[in-house]
Amino acid sequence: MRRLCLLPLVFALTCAESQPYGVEIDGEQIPVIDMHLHPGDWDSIPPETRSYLTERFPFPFKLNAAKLAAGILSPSGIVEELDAAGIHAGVLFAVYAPRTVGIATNELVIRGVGQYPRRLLGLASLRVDRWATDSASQLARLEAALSKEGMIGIKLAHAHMHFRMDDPAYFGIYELAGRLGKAVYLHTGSSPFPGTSREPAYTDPTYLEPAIAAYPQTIFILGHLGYDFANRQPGALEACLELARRYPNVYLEPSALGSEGSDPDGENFKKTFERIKESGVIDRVIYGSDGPQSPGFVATYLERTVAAMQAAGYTADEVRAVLSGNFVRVFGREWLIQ
Amino acid sequence: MIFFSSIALRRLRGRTILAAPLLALAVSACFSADHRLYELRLTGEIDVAPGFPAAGRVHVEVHHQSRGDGPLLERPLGLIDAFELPALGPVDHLVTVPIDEGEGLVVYAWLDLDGDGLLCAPGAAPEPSAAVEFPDQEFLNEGAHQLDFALTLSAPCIGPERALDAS
Repeated sequence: MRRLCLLPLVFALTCAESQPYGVEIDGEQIPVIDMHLHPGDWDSIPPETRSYLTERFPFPFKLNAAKLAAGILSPSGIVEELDAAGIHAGVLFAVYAPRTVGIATNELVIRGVGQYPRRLLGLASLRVDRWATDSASQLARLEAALSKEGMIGIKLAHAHMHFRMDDPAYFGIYELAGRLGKAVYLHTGSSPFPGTSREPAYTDPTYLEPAIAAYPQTIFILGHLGYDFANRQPGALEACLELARRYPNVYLEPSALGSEGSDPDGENFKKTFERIKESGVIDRVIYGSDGPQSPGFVATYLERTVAAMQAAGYTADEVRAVLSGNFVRVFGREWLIQ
Repeated sequence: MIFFSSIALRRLRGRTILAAPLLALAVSACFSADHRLYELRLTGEIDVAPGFPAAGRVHVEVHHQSRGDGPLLERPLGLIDAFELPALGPVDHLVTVPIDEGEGLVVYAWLDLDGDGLLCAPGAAPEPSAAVEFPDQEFLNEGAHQLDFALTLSAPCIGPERALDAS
């Protein structure tokens, strides 16, 4: 009996090893880079958010969420998820949002990137909750983190970190990014996490326009395409598309909005990719999943993304641009997908 | 999970309320801890600095001054309540404070000059805001169930996160 159970497992592992990385479209193997992955430490997440996340873990993982998180949120756990999904490389995000999603330090990300230099890159971040007194030291620490090997940009989430997108007091972050040649990734749209800011000044990328215009040398990546996660609606999608059309330093990232929880029937996701194509900004889309979330999510999200692009009539070249081509054009490092 | 009875809340107004009374005991397996709520009467005056128009609804937020434990998760602010006033002038509002979830109190307000419900929407005229803080737990002292404040809205387009510095 035991042997019978093991046989399919051995077969599956053998097959998995023989699968090439990437996704196959029209007989062409297309490489994939996932630019949005969260390492973490369960104890650095506020209790309210830990409860929220635990409820979202599938059974039986929710029975021991801390143990699951310790494995899947580690760099090795994330690389395992990339392997299972056939994804060449990923980008780890540092996060400093103590009121909402918690803390994943720059040091944690730098260690992960150092552990897997051929597979992982990183975005650094900073605290902004005591900006009047420590902005200079926070910017200095951010600059130091960005000087490390494999650190390619800055992660911000105004709704989670509670600062207005149009407040010039924080524009020094964009200035620093431009000066160092690093991109800035910004969460746009509402967020389902407890304690987030839901006012438009914290979620609507329209409020970012003064910064985008003031720092043309800085690349702004609008995460989640302004999706309204609270109401499962496209939200500020059109504002994101308009900014991408008008500003060459604006890029778009479609993570999380196409998940089963955020768009159960996949219709919003498909329409999103249709609108991207109609707007002529496919060359600005950089793929990300917002994983690992739960085991298998990274792979499932890639499948749902490819399905949405195919339903929206994307060619193989257009799929390639979204899944890795645009990333390589912005960040270089073509060796990641070779 | 927070659970309390509105009847009990009214009866015990002005006192520390243990929000896990008998009914909660009956289903105590669902609760990890008691949540103590303290009802506080906020009274005061909100006006605007010279140079700004003085017409419009006033949006008010009440925050803890700080929340969270430890060097990583301790942080400023934590929303407790939000309400609107029809105009500048006197304030008299009851707020229920979860006293174990944070320290101190901050009252933040802004004036909605164009009536769109948004503080300084893109292209709109600057709208003034301000905040006042009560770092000590003086409002929790026995017998001090009322907190008086005065707020002059003077900083344009500033959210609660920077209003204390800008005021």
